[in-house]
Parts: sequence; structure tokens; C-alpha cells
Amino acid sequence: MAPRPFITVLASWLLVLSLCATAAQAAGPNMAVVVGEESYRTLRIEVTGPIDPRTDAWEVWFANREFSRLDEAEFHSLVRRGDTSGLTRPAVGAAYDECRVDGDMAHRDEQGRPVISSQATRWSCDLTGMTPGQVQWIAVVPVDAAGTPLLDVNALQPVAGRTDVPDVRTPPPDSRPVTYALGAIVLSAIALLSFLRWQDAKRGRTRARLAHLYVAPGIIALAGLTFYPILYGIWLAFTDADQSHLGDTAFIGLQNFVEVFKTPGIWRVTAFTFIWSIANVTFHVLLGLVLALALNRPGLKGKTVYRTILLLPWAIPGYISVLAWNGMLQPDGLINGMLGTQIDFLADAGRARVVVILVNIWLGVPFMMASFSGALQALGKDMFEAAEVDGVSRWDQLIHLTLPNLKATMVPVSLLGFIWSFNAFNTIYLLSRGGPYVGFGEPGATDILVTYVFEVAFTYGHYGLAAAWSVLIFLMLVGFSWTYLRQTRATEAAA
Amino acid sequence: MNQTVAQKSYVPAELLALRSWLPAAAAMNGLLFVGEALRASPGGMGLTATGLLLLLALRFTLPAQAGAGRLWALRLLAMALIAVGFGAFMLTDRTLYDVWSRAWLLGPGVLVLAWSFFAPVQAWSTGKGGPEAAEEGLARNRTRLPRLETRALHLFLLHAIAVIIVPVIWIADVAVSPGNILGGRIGDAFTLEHFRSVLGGSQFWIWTRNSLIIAIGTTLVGLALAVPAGYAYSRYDFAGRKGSMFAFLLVQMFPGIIILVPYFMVMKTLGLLNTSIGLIIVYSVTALPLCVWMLKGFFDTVPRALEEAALLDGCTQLEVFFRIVLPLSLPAVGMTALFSFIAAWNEFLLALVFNTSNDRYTLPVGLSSMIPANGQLWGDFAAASIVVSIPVVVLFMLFQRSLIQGLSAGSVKG
Amino acid sequence: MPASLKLWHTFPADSPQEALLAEAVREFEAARKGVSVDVTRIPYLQNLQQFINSAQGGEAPDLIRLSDTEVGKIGHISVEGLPLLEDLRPHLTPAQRAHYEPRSLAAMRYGEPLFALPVSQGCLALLYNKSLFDAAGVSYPRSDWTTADLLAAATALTQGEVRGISLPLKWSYWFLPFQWGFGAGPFDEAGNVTLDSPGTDTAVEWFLDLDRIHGVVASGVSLEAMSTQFQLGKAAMVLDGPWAWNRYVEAGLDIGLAVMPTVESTGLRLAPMLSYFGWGVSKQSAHKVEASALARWLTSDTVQKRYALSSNMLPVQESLLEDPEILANPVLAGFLEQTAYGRTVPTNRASAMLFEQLDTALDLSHSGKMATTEALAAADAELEKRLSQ
Repeated sequence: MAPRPFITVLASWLLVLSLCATAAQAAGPNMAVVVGEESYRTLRIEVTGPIDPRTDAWEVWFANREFSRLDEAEFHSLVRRGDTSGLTRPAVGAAYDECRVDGDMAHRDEQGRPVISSQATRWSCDLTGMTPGQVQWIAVVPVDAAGTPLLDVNALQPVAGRTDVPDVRTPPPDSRPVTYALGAIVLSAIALLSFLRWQDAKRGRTRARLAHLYVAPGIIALAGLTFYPILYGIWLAFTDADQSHLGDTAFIGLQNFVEVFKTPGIWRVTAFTFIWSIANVTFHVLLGLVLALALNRPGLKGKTVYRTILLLPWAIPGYISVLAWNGMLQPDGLINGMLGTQIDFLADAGRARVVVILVNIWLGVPFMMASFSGALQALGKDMFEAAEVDGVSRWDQLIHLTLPNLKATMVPVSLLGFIWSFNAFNTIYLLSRGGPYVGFGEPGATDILVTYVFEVAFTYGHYGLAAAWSVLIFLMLVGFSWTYLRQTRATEAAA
Repeated sequence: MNQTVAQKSYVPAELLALRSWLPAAAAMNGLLFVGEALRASPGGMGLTATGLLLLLALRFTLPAQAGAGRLWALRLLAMALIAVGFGAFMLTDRTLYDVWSRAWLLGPGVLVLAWSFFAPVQAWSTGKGGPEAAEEGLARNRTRLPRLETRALHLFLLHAIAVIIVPVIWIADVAVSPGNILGGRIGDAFTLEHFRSVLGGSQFWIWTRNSLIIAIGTTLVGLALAVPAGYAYSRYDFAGRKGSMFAFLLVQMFPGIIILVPYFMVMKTLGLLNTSIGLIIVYSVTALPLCVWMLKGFFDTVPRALEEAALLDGCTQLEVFFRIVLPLSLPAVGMTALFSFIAAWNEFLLALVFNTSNDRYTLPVGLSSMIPANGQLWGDFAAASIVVSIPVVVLFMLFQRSLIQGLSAGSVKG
Repeated sequence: MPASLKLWHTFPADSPQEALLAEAVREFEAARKGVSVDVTRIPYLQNLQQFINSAQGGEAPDLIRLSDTEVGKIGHISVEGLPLLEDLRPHLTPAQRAHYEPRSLAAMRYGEPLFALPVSQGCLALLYNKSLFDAAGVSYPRSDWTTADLLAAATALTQGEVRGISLPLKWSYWFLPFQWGFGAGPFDEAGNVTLDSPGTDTAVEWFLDLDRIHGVVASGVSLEAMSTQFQLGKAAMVLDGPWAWNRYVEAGLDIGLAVMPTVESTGLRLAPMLSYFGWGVSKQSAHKVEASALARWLTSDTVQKRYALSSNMLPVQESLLEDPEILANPVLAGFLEQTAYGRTVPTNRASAMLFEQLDTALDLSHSGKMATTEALAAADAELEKRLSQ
């Protein structure tokens, strides 16, 4: 947007459009109007005296073509002339457009119109709203206090100007790094799988010949789609990425992590996250298992009906059921109506915590129930019949037959259940928004890590800080899962 | 005194049942006590607590062995329980909830009282009746006990269903109530206007079509990716096995919300924005960890001997898989299919971020675009949610049926 | 110049507002040969985040409808050193700009740049349920009411299940009228945070006492519960906006509208916060001339008038504020009268972050966890800390 001297503009004018030089220099008998520097959609006109003393204001008119009468042009603006005492001068940039008198910012009246002091001999104004890349014809018409033009409005001699200053656009993000990263990730995944395959071949594990091929599609799709965003997220945690300067981030080391540990309430929110996740997954598994076992009883009537109804919390979109719970928990909602009370369940920290957990349990049980039902149905009945004949008690059957056979299902669903609960955003966000408040500038009573991260990222725009929180969440989950899997030996192949 | 085996092992079914039911009823009253505490009603709290203690007392007063007597004590306690239950009931406004909560005091009381007069119970407790009576009683127990158990089971399941269904009824009530209010008395008015406006909307069927395509696509692609992987993890020990299994879980651990923009860039680079296939791939990958792990666990329980036998019979690897392993793992395959379907069907955030064209909207995104800036169209929204969950319910019912058929067709496993 | 514009709006699917938009866009396309407009409906709650995400991915739409609060939230965001929205100042002549009511135009500025052209305004006013007033024998609210009259009426109307007034006590948007009415305000002239002023303290106490002492407001009322209460006839009065009017009428309520009363001690009227919607142009747009022309058309008097008459959206074009057809509509006229007493908060980050701190203070003060003065001082300090970061 480098301002060009008006001479250059004028010169290009003469060359390109072969206009007569007088056109750019005639407005009134005494007053001279010239087109000055330009910016995007804006031309500056400069009016230099002598000014007709009767002038009360100037009307600025413009059009896309040359005109001589006012009805061929469009009214642009009014510049007043008169006493400026008691009027304010806006700072540079504060007004919608810029007008200057003898080099200083012009005064403005209460409607924002520029007012030129009667003593001034020259003024200039930015004329906004021009069509870029086209010649614009501009006429400045002085009028007296009665609004009568002080020059012949049927023989106007407008000045011409043209702004070619281009519009400034945000450059589109460079997608090449993403392309390279994706290529590198996919190629390394393939290379790694091939290497492992070669290693197996060298060791003579022939049974596993096709194994790598079987897992390859899944691994490659997974890596291709999700590794880049995660790596990017991890990198973000070490930068000062912030909404206020996106696309211009600097590496700042561990500063974000230091900031995280300085957050008031970090230990409380971490503790509640663990309580939340453990309570959720425990009850999901327990209740899901009990229901699945109850429904697995041979000869029980109405199984399909029970199962279908018990599935509903899973089938109904989560946000509507959470909102339904929110409505039911209102002081005049269904639950209070049932109890005959007026309790605001979400106002008290302790009650709100219990309530969000209960609602999330409600949401999650059906999935576990369905998982366990599937697994139970696949267990052979003969096994239990044999046990029955041997006089093994029900309880012992459950402990020694059913549960070990369910382990293969239980381990992954409980682990994933834990991970999902840990990062479960919707229930809390829709039910309590993390509230009730505990204090200023710290997480709310029902905030878990991920809801707080959301706030850091999207309310305050601190992407780097939010990414640092995310990395910590990630590390906690990795640690937990690793231990859990080692304890349960779930990665072992079948014997 | 010489007792026969039958005499030693015989306990009337009613007493057996009460042994586990009374503690259950006590536990239930523990829960109801919380309700009374929320009401801040000292009378209710006191009576519920008394009832709870009486139930426990009843449990320990139950005759432990034949001839223990104590029937009068039992009856007295039961009558006390009934009195407490009745008193507690009189304290309340007699709403549906009150009837139900007091039934947990009155019901056990009445049951104990009635059964204490039941001839076989009386005979056994007072030690009357010889070996024949015991034989007879054992025979009676064989039909009686399962029946009692089934009833208890139904009672339990009905409670579970009540907890599940109350919010659902509430949503249904919002959907059929005129106006757009959240709440109000259930069943006070009825209208189909919300269903009409949802189903008559110009966009609803486009959203449904998109959602169906994407959910079915996800199910198929998800299974195609997960089944071979799950099988390989179950059957083969190969280099990189544990690491890659863990990698599947790893991607679920990073909070997704923070990496939406880079994810968006990946999708843009791959040219997958505003496409159904883009979302299908994204959802398949999201569902992959659960599907792979679940299938792996399931394949683990299919005995290898079956496969080896089939291989010896000259079947190819592929035949073995499709003819033996897959049919036996149908429940898990069905479960993972259902999981993929529902995950894709209900997903909101990615569907919104990766699709900014109205004719690509899925149901969740479309539904939320019905919400105005100020005040919500709760009625329409609730009606739409019900309509949206119907396909899932239907699918689940089909899935249950095919499962049962599939299992009875190939019950070879042991 | 041939161009294809992408436009995002947040009107609900199949709503009359959406139909009006489609009509206006068709007219624009017909008037400008070669310009086509691709209209996309974005879920309201996700609008802003979706725009921010898309802009970072280089896929932002050319035009977007957004509120002044949203402008305040994204004004500071910069991608590659540029804001997300185009400064529309160069796109309008002063004559074109003068058509917009000045406060509405100022509300669309974030600091210097003008990020959107205003299209509608809104504010709360006092709505009342005539049948409940009649039943209790209380006379309808008048414009010369004081807050004491309001409280007396609310007390008289609180009978059985019915409360005098429905107010979400933890939402500062409903509290701000009281803060201004008691002679305080969230910011002073220079834009400094003034939550710890004595007037605010009095206002909070008065506001919360409606529940704590007088019991004329049900405690713990959420936003949804507020309109539900009023709609079910469980509250005789409510502070609500023009957007809610039709919903109440469709529910069969016989309702009236009054401007908010005057605070006795200060002689000031309760002043609702004015909020605005506007159309902005993306900084990424390749067709800014066409996009700004469309924004001008969508905010023109012709189009604003259609929205006002069909959906009670209060216009911000100067000519429409005097329009006989608009003023003949009692709802529009009533709310426009209320806007005259309305106040604005500056469109900036401070205002965008004000609500959370003020909500926290109201909550902590209401629950008695903190004394009001203490809570307000802490809110003030926290907001200032956030702003200095």
C-alpha cells in the first residue's frame, strides 16, 4: 500500500487515458482540486484555496464516468466549513476516514462529519468507497449556508482518479509441509512394516507371514490421518502459539508447562478428572456386566424389549439427552418435582460433581452392556451345563468361568472407556459448563482437564498453553494404559 | 437326631429368596434415604432408616436351619416394618415416587408376613415334617426357586428400565408438547406439530441420506480394516505386534479438540473436505482402536484347534477364516459394526468442521442448525432426536435377532 | 466482474429468516450479472469457532453473519499478521455509512477497523403476562414505574406456584441493566474495568435479594428455565428480547411490553445492554468489492424492513427508526423505545471476557461463598489480569 506521489498518478493518467490536463485541475473559479495519494478503494482529494468566503460546506460527488451534471453522479459526502471551537479532533485512525486541514487532523461534528475551519486555506479528505481499478470522476461543489451551489452545477468539471492499490488478502496456508509430512509418515509406516516383516522372515517365523499385511491397512490409515495432527499438537506445546498471532509462532521451550503447573486448582482438577474417569468406568463396567448377566438368563421373557430399551441412552444423540438431564435437574424440573423439593443440583460443588458423574454413567452403561451381552452370547452353553452338573455354585461359575472368558472383552472396553471418560467433553460442557465456580481464574468445580483445556484454547486463545495441557493429558493416559495393559497382559496373542 | 441328605439340604424356596432379597431391599432403602436427605425431611429420614434396620433385622431373624422357630419374631418385625412403611407413606404427598419408595418398605413387610404363614415354611421352621416332606419340598423348590428368581430379575430389570427411560419419556414429552418449552408436566398436552415440522423440513431427508451413507460406509470400511488386523493380532506373534497394538490406543489419548486445525489441513491436503468418503475414512479410523481390540479379544476365544483341524481337512486359510472363525465371532463382529455405525451416526464435531456445504450435512449437524440464536426450538429438537434414534434401535433389534440365529446355527464352540 | 461468493449465516433451517435471506440473495444475483452466491447455514453455537478454524485452513467464507460480541471475540485474532475480517471502512462512502444508526456502526468496530455492517439490534425489555396481573389484581407495568413498584408488583404476584418475575440470576446479561441503573457500569469512559464500584455492589445486592429476601424470583433459574417458567405461566414478568415475543404469543400467552423501570435511589432507568448483528467480509475473500456490496445490500433498509416486520428483528437503518410501518407494530415500537435507554459495552476483548468474571461473581455471591464486595473486587482483578496478558 505504498502511497504514490500524485505526479506519478497524474502521469499514468495522461499516458493511459489521454485525458486533457485541465480535467484534473478544475472545480471552481478559484479553488483547485487535485487527486492525491491513493489506497485500497480510496482516493485522496486535496482542495487548495482561495476559498469562496460564502462557502458553508462542500459536497463531494462522484461517478464511474465523466459527468457534468449532478444528477449523473452519486453523492459521496459533505465537508462542512465553519467554527471548530468545541469540536474534537479524532486521533489518526479513530475516524471512519481521514480528513486533514493544513496537515492536521480535521475536526468532526457530532455526526462524524469533518469541519474545516474558516481560516484554513487547504484541506484534504480520503474518499472511501471507490471502485478499484476503474476511473472515478469526482466533483467538489461548494455550497452556501442555504445549500445553494456556488458554481454552475450543469457544467461541472470533475477531476479523475483511479486507484489500483490492490486489496490485501491473507495468504492461503501453505499445504506443502502437510503434504511432505503425510508422505513421510505413510512411507515410514510402510517401511517400518516391511522392516518388521523382514525381521520376522530372518528369524524364521513363518506362521506370521501375512500378519503384517493384515494390519497394514489399518495402521497406514491410522498413521496417515492422525499422526500429523498429534505431532503438530505436541510441537504446539513448545511454542507461544496464540490466537493473537497465528502463523507466526516461536519455540519457547518448556515455558507453557511451567505455566500449566502454576495454574491455581491444577491438582484439584486433575484429581477430579481421575475420580470422574474411575467412577465412570467402574460403574459402566459393573452395571453393564450386571445387566448383561441378568439378560443372559435362559428363558427370560421380554429380553429383546429390555435390551432395546436399555440401549436407548446410546442410541439417542448425547447432546439431547444431556440437555434433557439438565432440564430434569432444574429446581422446578422433573426430579425435584418427584421429590417435592426445589434443589438446585448444579449450584453446589459436591452435588454437581455427583450429578455429572451419574449422568455420564447413565450415558455409558448401554455400550458396556451391549459389549458384554455380545460376549456372553458367544460363550458356549455346554460349559455352564457341565459346571451345573458338577454342582459348581452360581457364584463360582461367575468367578471362574464367566469372568475369565469375558476378560478379552473387558480389558479393551474398560481401558477405552477410561480414555474416553478422561477426554469426555460433552457431558460436562452441556450439563454444568464446568460450574459451579470455585474461584476466579481457576477451573470450575466440575471441570475436568479436557473441559478446562477447551476454555484455555477457545475462550482465551492460548493454543500453545492448551497444547501443553493436552500433552500432559496424553502422557497421563499413556502411562495409565501402559501399566494397565501390562497388568492384564492383554497384548498377548492367544495361547 | 438322624437327618437325611434331603433334610439337611432342604430350605424352602421362599426363605432362600428372602435371604438375598432382604439385604437388597435394605440397600434400596439406603438409596431412598439419600432422597429423604435431599428432601431434608427428618420424618422420612428417620422412618427410612428404621425400615432399613428392620429389614436387616428381618434378614437375621430368618430361621437359619430347620426347626429354628423364630416365626413370631419374624411376624412381629414384619408388622413393624409395615407400620413404618405405612407411616412413612402418610408423611408424603403420595406422588408416584412416594408410592414407589414406600413400596420398598411395605412390599418386603407384606411378603415376609404372608410367607411366614405359608405351610411349608411353617412346617420347616418349626421342625415338623420328616424326610418325605423334605423330598417333596426339594422337588417343589426346583420349579419354585427359578420362578422366584425370574420375578426378582424382572423387578430388577424394571428398575433399570425406569432409570433409563425417564429421561427418554421426558424427551418424548417435550417432542409432543405444543410450543417449545423444556419441561412442564408430563403428558399434559399432545401434538404432532414438531414431528411434522421436522419430517416436513426441506433438509431432513438430505441429512438422513448423508448420515446413512456415512454410517453404513463407516461400518463397512471399519470392519474391512479391523477384522484382518484383529485376526492377525490374535493369531500371530510378529515383530512390532505390541507396539502397533498400543499405537491404536495412542491416537485416542490426545484431546482431539486441540488438533482440529491440523486435522483440517490433513483433510484439505488429501482433498477430502466436503466429501462423504472423507468422513467415512475419518470415522473408520476413530472406531478402529475399539474394533481391533474387541475383535482380537474375541478371536482369542475361538479355539485354535478348530482351525487346525479344518486346515488339515484341506481348507485354505481364507476358507477357515470365513467359514469357521468369522461365524463364531459374529457377536463381536456385530458389536463392532454396531459401534462403528452409532459412532458415525451421532458424531458432530468432525462432521461440522470437515463439511461446510449444507447438502453434505449429517443429521447431528443438521439438527443443530435448527437451533436459533436466541431461545431454542426444544420441541422440534426433541422430535428430531427421537426420529434420529429410531434407525439405531431398529438396527439393534435386527442385530439381536441375527445374532441369536447366527449362534444357534453354529454352536460348536466349547 | 464474475465472482462466486461463499456466505455463512446462522438462521435456523427452514426458518422465515432463512427464506428472506435466500430471497435477498437472489435479488442481488439478478442485479449483478456474473455474481453467484453460495449460501450455507452454520449451526449458531459453532459459528465463530467454525469460522476461526476455516480461516486458519484457508477456507473461510467471503461473508459471515456475526454478533458484536463475536466481533469482540475475534477482533484480536490475527493470521499471518492480518485480522480475520476485512476492515470495511474503505468500502463505504460517508453517505452510505450515514444510513446506519451510529451506535450500531460503532458496535461493529474493534478498535479502529469496522469489521461488519450492522443489520439488527436487540435488547431486553419487561414482558408481562396480562392474565396473571389481572388475576392478582395488579395494574400493568407503566413506563413511570420505579424499581420499588416493580418489587411491590412482583411480591403481590408471587402466589402459590407463580413467581413475580423470572430472572436467571447467574447470567450477567440480565444483571447489567441493574448495574447501569444503579449508576455503575462494567467499564468507565476510558474503558477501565469498574466491577468493584460501590454502585455495582448495591446493584448486585438488590438483584440477588429478589431471590434471597423477597423470594419473587425462583433461585437457580437457567436460561432455558427462564422462558419456560414464563411460558408456562409460572412467572408473571420476565426480561426478554424481541426474539422471544412470537414464541410466547404462539404459546397462547396474552402478554404486554413495557420499558424497564427507574431505580429510585439514582433516578436512572434500568438500561439493557444493546446487542447487534452484522455482516462481515473475510480478509481472505478474493472478491471484496462484490462481498461488501452484498453486505451493504443485506443490511439495506429494504432488507432490514422485511426482517423487522416478519421476525421482530429491530432495524438499525436510520430511515427505518422513523418508518411509520415499523412504528405501527407495537412490538417493534416498544422495543425500539427501550433501545433508546439501552447502553452498550465496547466491542473488545474486555467485554468478551467480562461475562465469565461477572457470572462468577454473581454465582459466588449468590451461593454465599464470598461476600459481594469481595467477589466483585476479585472479578475486577481477574479481568484486569486477563487483559494484561
